[in-house]
Amino acid sequence: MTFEWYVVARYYPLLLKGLLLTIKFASISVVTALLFGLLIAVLQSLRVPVLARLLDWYVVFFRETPLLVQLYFIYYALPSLGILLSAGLSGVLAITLNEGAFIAEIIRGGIQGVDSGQPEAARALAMTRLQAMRLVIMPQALRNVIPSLVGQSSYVLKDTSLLSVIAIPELLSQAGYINDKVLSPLTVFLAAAALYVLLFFILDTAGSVTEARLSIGEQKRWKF
Amino acid sequence: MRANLILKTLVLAAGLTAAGTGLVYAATPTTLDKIVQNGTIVVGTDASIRPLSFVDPTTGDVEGFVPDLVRLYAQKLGVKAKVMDIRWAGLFPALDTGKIDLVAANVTTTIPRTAKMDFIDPWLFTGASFLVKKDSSIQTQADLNSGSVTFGETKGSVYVDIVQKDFPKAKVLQFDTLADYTQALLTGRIDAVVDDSLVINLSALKGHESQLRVLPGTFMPQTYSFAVRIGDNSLSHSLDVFFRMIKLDGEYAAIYKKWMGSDWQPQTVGY
Amino acid sequence: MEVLATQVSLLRVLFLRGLVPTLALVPIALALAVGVGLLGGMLRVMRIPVVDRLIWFYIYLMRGIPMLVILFLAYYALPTGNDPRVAATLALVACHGAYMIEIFRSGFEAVTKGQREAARALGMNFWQRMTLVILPQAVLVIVPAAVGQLIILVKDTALTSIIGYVEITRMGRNLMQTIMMPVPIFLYIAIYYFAVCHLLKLIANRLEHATRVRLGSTERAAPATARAAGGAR
Repeated sequence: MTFEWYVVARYYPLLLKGLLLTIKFASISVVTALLFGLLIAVLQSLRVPVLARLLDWYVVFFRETPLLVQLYFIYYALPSLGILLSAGLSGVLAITLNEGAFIAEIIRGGIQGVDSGQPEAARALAMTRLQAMRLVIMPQALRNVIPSLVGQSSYVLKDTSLLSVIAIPELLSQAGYINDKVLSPLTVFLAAAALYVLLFFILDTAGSVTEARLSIGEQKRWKF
Repeated sequence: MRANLILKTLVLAAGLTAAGTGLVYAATPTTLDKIVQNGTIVVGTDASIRPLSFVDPTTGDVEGFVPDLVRLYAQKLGVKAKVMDIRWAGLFPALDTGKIDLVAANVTTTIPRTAKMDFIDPWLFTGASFLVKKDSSIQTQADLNSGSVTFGETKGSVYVDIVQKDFPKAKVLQFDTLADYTQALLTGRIDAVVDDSLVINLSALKGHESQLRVLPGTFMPQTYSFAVRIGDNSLSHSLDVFFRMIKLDGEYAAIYKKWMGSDWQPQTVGY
Repeated sequence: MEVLATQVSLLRVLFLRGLVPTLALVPIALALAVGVGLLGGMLRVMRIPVVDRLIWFYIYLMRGIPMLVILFLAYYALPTGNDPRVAATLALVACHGAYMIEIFRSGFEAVTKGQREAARALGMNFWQRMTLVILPQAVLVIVPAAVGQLIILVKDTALTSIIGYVEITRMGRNLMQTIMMPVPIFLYIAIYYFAVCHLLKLIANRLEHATRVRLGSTERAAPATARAAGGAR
């Protein structure tokens, strides 16, 4: 098995087409997952009576079941319950629900990490719980967890590769299609891997820059 | 004295070289040699289509038209057959790397594929069929070439390119398995499926006759062939002989009738 | 009544026959990944210039390449890879091993400086320090994180169905063709994974609780150094 350059040279337009679709889905899903996760985390923290409990269950369930199974359910099972969503919508929904649960946990951790003096002070200043949340707690919580959130968005990027199983022609799908024609799997999948790493690099660098700007970390140097 | 010695040395060297070459030649066994020596032929099939090749849920064994042919060949050769269920896309890499000796599946014989494998004479003749929903507005092949039609095909199927060529206005979506595209057709995600007639009628349509129908007519004659590694001449010749013999003496017809349910009609080309 | 019977038999088929492939895959993958993690973690804390960079690069790649792509590469591109189970194991070990390296490294670096300096002061060489002092304490931090990684590994086994490994997800998809009941099928599959993962999560919580109790203060951890010192002499 060798890396056959001619395959890349001849079929790179297809790979780029797939790459664009991957970027599109990743971008949309990151935004929706972040917003959704934020909503969940806030609702959970406010301890809205019945809803918070339901959300707890939702988060646990979606974190401990595989995205693939969730995706299959939305795409293949929901139609028999009368809910027929397009492939794109199914994909975004699955990723949003899945990653949203993880993001909710991260943000909730951030909220709890805010010094307990803050909400007390807010209450002392006669703010409603909602005001306290919006003006005092959330800004601090989010600052704390931005590095984790950026890390999570790289997971969203990797998740888009699963969309190939519901017939969305993103990067991995295109790589597979090219392989079916030329039977050169090492070439196409290494090429796809390289493109994914490139995207990851962009995300990761952006994350590092953000983290450096926000926090003054301690460099620990251990000598063994 | 010296000349004698030199002459003897030369003769000895020549003799050793000849013997060595002969030994090397004889020592490089062909795949068929290895199969006979080991007593087993390792065959790969994609056991996902009744009645061609499928996994019997009660025994877990691979059964069907293809396994029967393979086991008959092994029996005649005097070896055992090890039939492995390998997902379609993994069949050709498995053949390349030597994990299997023979790909026994519904491999559509196409010229581009001959660059990567050696085909045996076809074991089945078929054509293509179009599957649509019962209440679909599509009635003829011409209806399919429209921007509002979306086809569903399995990844790696020859039909992906065929659709793009013959129905340029339609869209094609690629699915992992037949089960996936059937489900997609039933739920209205796609409008049509084109696949080998046998696959359509015996696998995709089965169980869904009340919701799906096949377009009338025959299209695009196809053949299925088994495949061996490029250059495995002794094995491919052996299989060619096998197929010709069983088609002459009625064994093929018996297996055909068992799995297809109808009598086998030989093609006029003489196969 | 018949509906109930079908559901029960469906459940039984899925769960029982689904457990076997999972058990055939997960323990080996976990053991190998832990091995990779231990080895890589130790190498990283040794801070050997070129090696450390290489390991870092390997981890970077594993973080950036989707699991599915690694699975396809293992399946198609490696000579032994056309066996879905071998390919799946390789891919899982490659990817999760990388994360394990980081987990082990964090564990090692979590052992307080005092411990390590004390060990060095007692004249222990690297191996003695590692095995007698650092590892026993690091383990308390590593194990909860490793179990968390294990949960992700179990979820990733669902992806192996795409390269043909016959585990519960693949069985469900095949069943979809013959039994037209996608809703219960995928629901049961989800519940299966949930059951396995949640069980692991409960174990992780227990371990984390034990860790917090143990790592209360450096005084608590000090006896390990003293014990080790006695052994080294």
